[in-house]
Amino acid sequence: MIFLKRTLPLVIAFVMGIVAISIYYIPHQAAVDLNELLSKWDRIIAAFAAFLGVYSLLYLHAGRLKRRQVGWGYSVFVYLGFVVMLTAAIYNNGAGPLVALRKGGAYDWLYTNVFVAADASMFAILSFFIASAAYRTFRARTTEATILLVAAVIVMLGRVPIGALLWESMPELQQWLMNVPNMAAKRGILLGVYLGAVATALRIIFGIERSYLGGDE
Amino acid sequence: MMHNPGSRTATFVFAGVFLALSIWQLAVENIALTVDGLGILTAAGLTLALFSFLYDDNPLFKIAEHLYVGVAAAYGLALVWFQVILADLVNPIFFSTATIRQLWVLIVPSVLGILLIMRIVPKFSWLSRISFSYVVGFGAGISIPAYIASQLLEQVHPTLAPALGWDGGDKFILIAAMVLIAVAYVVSRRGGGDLGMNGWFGPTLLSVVFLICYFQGVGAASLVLVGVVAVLFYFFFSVEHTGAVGAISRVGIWFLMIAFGASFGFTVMARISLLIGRMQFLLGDWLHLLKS
Repeated sequence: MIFLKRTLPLVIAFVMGIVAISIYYIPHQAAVDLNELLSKWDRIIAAFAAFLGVYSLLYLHAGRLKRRQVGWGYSVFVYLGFVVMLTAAIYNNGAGPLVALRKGGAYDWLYTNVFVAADASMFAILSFFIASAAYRTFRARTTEATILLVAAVIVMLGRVPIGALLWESMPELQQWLMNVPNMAAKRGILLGVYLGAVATALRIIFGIERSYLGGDE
Repeated sequence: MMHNPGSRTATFVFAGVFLALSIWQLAVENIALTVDGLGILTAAGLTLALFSFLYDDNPLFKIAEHLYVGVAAAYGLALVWFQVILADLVNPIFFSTATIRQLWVLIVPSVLGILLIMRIVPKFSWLSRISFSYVVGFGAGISIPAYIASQLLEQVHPTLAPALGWDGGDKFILIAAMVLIAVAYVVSRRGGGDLGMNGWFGPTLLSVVFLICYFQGVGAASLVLVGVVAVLFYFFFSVEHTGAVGAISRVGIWFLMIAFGASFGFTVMARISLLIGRMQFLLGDWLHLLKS
């Protein structure tokens, strides 16, 4: 049982990792075809994971409803939104779930008037919280904070008409700031990040990193 | 549910405003009771309910938030069904003329997918490890050459090539930066300080370099090289950040501060753009106060 529960997953991860690395460096049509096939399998399995994610969400809210937890009434709205949207998707404008998604109908209506509207509003209110956080943290107390403040102000002003009105070169200056010093720092960070990602990937392939197997490993 | 007066006020004010203005729009026939009209009212109601959080946390916001979560989950599931499961699995297996030999390759991901779903059955949840190990192992393997090629080598080449003259680029700022760091070093040694980089001298020096680069339109590639090297110095903790290493890593901090400031400004403007979009919707499509 230990073999099935622990050794087999580690062997599969090792074999798939080595195969995935190898096919990248083999300049042959067979390697390209194998890569496409394995990527397709990966996509299909990941799609099943989406079902798992939705189950997890619904299970959480079912628990709240069952236990009459504080705020349980709001969980009803999670189910309401889910069921209505899913019904619209299954109905698929009269065509059913076994043909490609059709334009128009209840699904599009819900997407435009509920999903897009709520999504944009949810992210729009973040601008107020970011501004509030900035007010508290952006005090030019140190050299570094001053540099950060000046860069942020230039970028913000350079992206709105009032910036060009104040100084006509402001849009170009903010673009230069984004393209040169900003890119230099991002590149420095990303070099470290991707070296770390490669190291982590190697740890996974060689079975040193096992957290994906679950908490008890 | 309404624990404080602010929550109660927000609920009644926003609900009242929404109802009053919606009835007014229906009365003056700016909005008709059609599918499109109801769509506008729904979107306006949700927008106001979510914006009500700016006053205080309240039931209206929570209802809109939970509704959004439910709709988003179903939307994601529908996309997965139509774009992956239906297109790559159901249609080829049940609605195509493919032979058994062509179809066997779909058996493996189907079985692995079902094993993944077994996660929800406590007794058999260990079976999902097999599917996870496939996804994680393949993902790790595919990411190594991809990261090395596209994120490491492809980043290093444009950083080094123009500044070092490989692509016929300029070396102006590379030389200028070296001279300036040497000047900073000499100035600081005379003062006996910390290479002059912690006070006013360093940032002023950097500002002068930046302004020369910007106005002369030169040295962008070399400046990127200086920035990348300085940032890497800052993240290199195996040596103590004193002396010349400390000076260079401090330049790295300034570059990082510029990047964080620029990213902050960029994010704020993106959010503001969304806010403008919602305000245009409320004032235009809902209240018809904006002239098209």
